[in-house]
Amino acid sequence: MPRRKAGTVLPLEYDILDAGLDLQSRNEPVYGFSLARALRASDSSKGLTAHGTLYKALGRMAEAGLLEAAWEDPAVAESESRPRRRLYEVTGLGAEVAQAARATARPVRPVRGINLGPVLS
Amino acid sequence: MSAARSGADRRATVWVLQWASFYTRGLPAGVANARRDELASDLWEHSTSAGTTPRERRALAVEIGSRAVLGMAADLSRRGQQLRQEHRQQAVALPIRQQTGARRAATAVYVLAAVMIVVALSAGLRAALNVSYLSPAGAPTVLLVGGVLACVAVFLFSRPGSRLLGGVGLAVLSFPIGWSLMLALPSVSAEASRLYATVMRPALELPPLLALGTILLPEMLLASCFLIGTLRARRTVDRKFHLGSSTDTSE
Repeated sequence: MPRRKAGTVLPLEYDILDAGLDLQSRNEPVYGFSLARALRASDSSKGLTAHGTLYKALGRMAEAGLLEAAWEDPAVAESESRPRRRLYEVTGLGAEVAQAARATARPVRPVRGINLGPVLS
Repeated sequence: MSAARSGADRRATVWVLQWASFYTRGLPAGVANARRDELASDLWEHSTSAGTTPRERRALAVEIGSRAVLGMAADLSRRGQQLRQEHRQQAVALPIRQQTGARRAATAVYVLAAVMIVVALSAGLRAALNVSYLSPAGAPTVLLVGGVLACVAVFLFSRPGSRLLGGVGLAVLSFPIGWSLMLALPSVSAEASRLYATVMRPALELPPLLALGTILLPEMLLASCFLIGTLRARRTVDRKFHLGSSTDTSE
């Protein structure tokens, strides 16, 4: 698998940012499966994003500061008799990157040169 | 998990969790547990979001399986990244004394191996071109093949995952290379052969087993150096790995 260059944001990551911002604006929790469902809803031709692809992207985005991740309070999960979720929040930087992508045409190919620090190198 | 689970989607879920356990093995416990917990949550949400008819449950099983299969390359790539990141962090966190000790041990193994390879290949070449009736015909071939195999062993030693195999390979190869060098010595240099015979003459007067042990002493010393050097270089790698496994990065 080729390594991505520093500061590259992939189309999937733009989609995740958009889906995350959309869920946040509706006060809905943002977690892996809710994002996968939102991504499918945004493009009916797609199925649910593969586990590995989704969680790898979420991990890298959290490391790059586009998302903030935190485990849900176990008491909440227990009260609803389900496993606890890892909740995500789109950060200010993530919102800026999504905004910048919306301002220009949505990139079909990966966009390079956005300064996200050394993490995405 | 959902009470309406069918056999197919239960099997798919179990398989996906087993796959997660497989690709997170060896990662720090916090990272591995976080990945498995997040996946378990995803599978639970996915399962509860699906309908309860047998057809819907079968479709769910197929969807779970396909999501896992399509994400396998990303899972493995992520694993590689996390392992590399962890090794970098641990290498920085290790006391300088430990790092220096490991580096010195590895350097000693490289130097000894380089000497052994150069001697084996040059002596093998020389003996092949200057055959003496005192040397057995097969000795140059063993030297040349041994030299090439020692190069392979050095390559294995240079990779952290196969360091032990490379070190043991070098130790084992020092016996056929040393023995063949002794046999081929008359073809390499008459002077060296005479000197060797003078040094080893007292050993030939010993009982046969002791004589053999004495003749093989240089090879045994060389093999011991390779093994000790490998273990010293590897012990630090293991300690690094142990430190990495105990790092808890869960939130």
